[in-house]
Amino acid sequence: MTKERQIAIITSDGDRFPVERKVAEKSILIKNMLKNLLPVEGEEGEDSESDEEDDEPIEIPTQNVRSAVMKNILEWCEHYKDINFPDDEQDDDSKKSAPIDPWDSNFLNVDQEMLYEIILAANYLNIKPLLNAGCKVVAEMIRGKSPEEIRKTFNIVNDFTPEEEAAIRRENEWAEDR
Amino acid sequence: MCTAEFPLSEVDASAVFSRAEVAQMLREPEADTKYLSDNSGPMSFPNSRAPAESPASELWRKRPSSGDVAMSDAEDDAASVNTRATSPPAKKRLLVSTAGNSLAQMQLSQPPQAHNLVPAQLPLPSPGASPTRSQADTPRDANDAAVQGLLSPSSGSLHAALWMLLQRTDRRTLSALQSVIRRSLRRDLVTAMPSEIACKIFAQFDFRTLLRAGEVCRSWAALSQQGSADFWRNLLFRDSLVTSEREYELEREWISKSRPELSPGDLARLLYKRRVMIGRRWRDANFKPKRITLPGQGLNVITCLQFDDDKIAAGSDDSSITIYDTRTGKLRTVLSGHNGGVWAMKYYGNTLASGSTDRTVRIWNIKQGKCTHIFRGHVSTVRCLDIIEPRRIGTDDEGRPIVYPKAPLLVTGSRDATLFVWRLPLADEDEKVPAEPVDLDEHSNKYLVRVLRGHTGSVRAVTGRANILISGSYDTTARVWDLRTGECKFVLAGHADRIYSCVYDFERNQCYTGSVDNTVRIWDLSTGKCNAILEGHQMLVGLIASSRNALVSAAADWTVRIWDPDTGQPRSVLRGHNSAITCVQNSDYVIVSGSQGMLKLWDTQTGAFIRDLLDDVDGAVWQVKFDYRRCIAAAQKDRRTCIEILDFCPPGTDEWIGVPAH
Repeated sequence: MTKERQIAIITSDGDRFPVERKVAEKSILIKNMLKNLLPVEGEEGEDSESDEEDDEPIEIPTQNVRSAVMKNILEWCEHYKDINFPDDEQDDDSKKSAPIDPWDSNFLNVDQEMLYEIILAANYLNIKPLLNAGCKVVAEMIRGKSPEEIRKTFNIVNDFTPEEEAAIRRENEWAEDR
Repeated sequence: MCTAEFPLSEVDASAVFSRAEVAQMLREPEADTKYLSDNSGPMSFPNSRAPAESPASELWRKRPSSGDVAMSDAEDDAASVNTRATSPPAKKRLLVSTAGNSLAQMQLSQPPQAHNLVPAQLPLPSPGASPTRSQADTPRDANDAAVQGLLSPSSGSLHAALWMLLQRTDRRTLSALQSVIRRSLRRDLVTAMPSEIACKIFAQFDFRTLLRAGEVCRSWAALSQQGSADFWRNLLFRDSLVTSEREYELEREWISKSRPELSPGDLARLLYKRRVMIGRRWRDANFKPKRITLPGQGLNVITCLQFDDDKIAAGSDDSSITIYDTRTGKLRTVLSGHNGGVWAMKYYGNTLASGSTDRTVRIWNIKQGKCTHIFRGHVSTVRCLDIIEPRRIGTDDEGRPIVYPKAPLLVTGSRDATLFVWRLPLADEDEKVPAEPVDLDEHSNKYLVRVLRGHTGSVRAVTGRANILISGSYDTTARVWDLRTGECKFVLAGHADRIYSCVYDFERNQCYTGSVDNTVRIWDLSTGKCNAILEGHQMLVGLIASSRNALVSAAADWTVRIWDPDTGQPRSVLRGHNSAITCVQNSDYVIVSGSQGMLKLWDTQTGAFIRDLLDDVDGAVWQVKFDYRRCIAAAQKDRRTCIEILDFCPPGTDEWIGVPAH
């Protein structure tokens, strides 16, 4: 009873990560799953369950996240396990645009593919602060760059016709001259 | 041996591969165990900064170091890999010769289970991308065939095979490979994201980046269109170009009336553009704002001034309050009734509250030009007042917003050292106003909420928001009150002389006080402690103003100073006035300050002088207020007090709205 039941996250490629509950609960998806699986102690009904079953670790499959990504995600969750993020009321963030936390910025200094996967995983697992940080990092890769520089950064082909491009430029001219 | 300098040999493969794959590797005969357990070689990880516990994760999460950056910038393509790797041993050549095609293809071939997240085929970066890999690919030579066999996705040992190959590769080749891989990993992350995430990214942009993002390609243009209304709306608030929802809605409606064809997104963007363009006119010394001068009758002192798009209200020491039409400058009404000079005034909608040397507080119906209530209670001059509008201060357990106050409150501060908190009787434009105002003494006044006592000297300044009220006094302290209970939360003590002004910075949870002791102080409102003493002014600091990015003080020493509101560090000293500063206001962008015969415009960010706004004033400039478009000043000219209206966007010059975009 007193011992906390073990939790393990199973990744898409079959790896198993035992985690502390509060680390796992940084993911709202997992938190809600656990809420259903592990009702608060003292609530009726649960005592009848056999003891062996209680000792079984709870395995949480995350079919969308592979091991290498999960490793990163869990590192992030571990770092923030003692921090309570405010429940997402509204997107206050978009109005104020707080600068990215330096730890997050360093943490997310990964190659583009990993960054992409971390963002998608944070979205899937519902880890808002990590998702926000990821979006900020991508935005930072774009900020202040010319369209051509942006295309280079992301290997994008310019598919505008010259006329279209000129028209958009003209439309945006006001922003460029100072 | 080539393995001697092979950095990956030290790497714990499990950091890169899933355990299942590692297990598989380990099951392979000799090679794996040999390399994976080979810990003898001197280990140096070229690109990892910290001695991380798992170097492999460092490798895969490349933190930039100088070498790294140079590498990623190198424009080598697959072809140059070949030329670089000079006479490699057979095994290496095998890998290198396939680098241009197979490697690029295999780069992200995921184990089948992982395909949910990543598209099976990644668009390759370099021009002339390699053909996609298929089972039917004909191996070019025997070596290729061997590799193909090894890498056959069905074997499940693809990672293990790659690992083996990499383990036998020298540093130089690895380095070349790294840059190829890095380049080929670049791709259009943004378009690849689900659109709600892409929108989250776009929402982070500043306005220039947002526009440029729309120039990148069609799919980005579509994304920037998709969330356009929200992006631009948020930018307007984030960049402090719009200060209230109401202001935003009014202007949006107004623009949509003249440009009904615009989408909500285009409308919001046009609104942003309009604000930026008008802002530039302020800075352009060649642009002459439209000026309307409203001459007064005599040499009265304008003690308080407030305006909006519709009306200007000016309180005077001659005991009257005058209301003008903002657009035309026409005199609308004079509110008279006070028996002494008006020294404090503020309006909220159609309701105006004023305080006077006659010791009364009066409430007026502006539209009808009549006094509705007289509040008595103060036993000396009413020197300052503020109207506290309802604000959301939190959420209850069920997530419903908690609003305080429920209805607007009026707080008045007096020379009698007290503050009175009143419910503000709202004046309906069309209500029937009795000929005589309701005259209420302290004991029979149902509008009186409470009296805040504690100051031991004249209350000179008061400001509040939601439940927090801050008062500054001649007793040298400022007090922080909780309006819900009337409790004095903190006494901010430290100034050596009278406090003349105070400003509440809600977002930073601090307040600023300016004093006759020549200093400005920053107070932390969670502790009541003084965070910084801003020294530099040589004479009394009568005025303080602040915006999101700057704290501004103005003193009798002829200077205006800009401070960092977070640290209290001085940023600029604005010199140019040649007498005591009599009024000041600032935004994130500009500062307007007035003194005898001068009204000057400065840049908030740099502290640079921009222009003189009035060059023919010969007397005092009593008051100044401005918004994004107009600057209203009360100044003395030819021995008369005038109200000056400077409009930087007079009718007919709103070309951004009037001329339809092509």
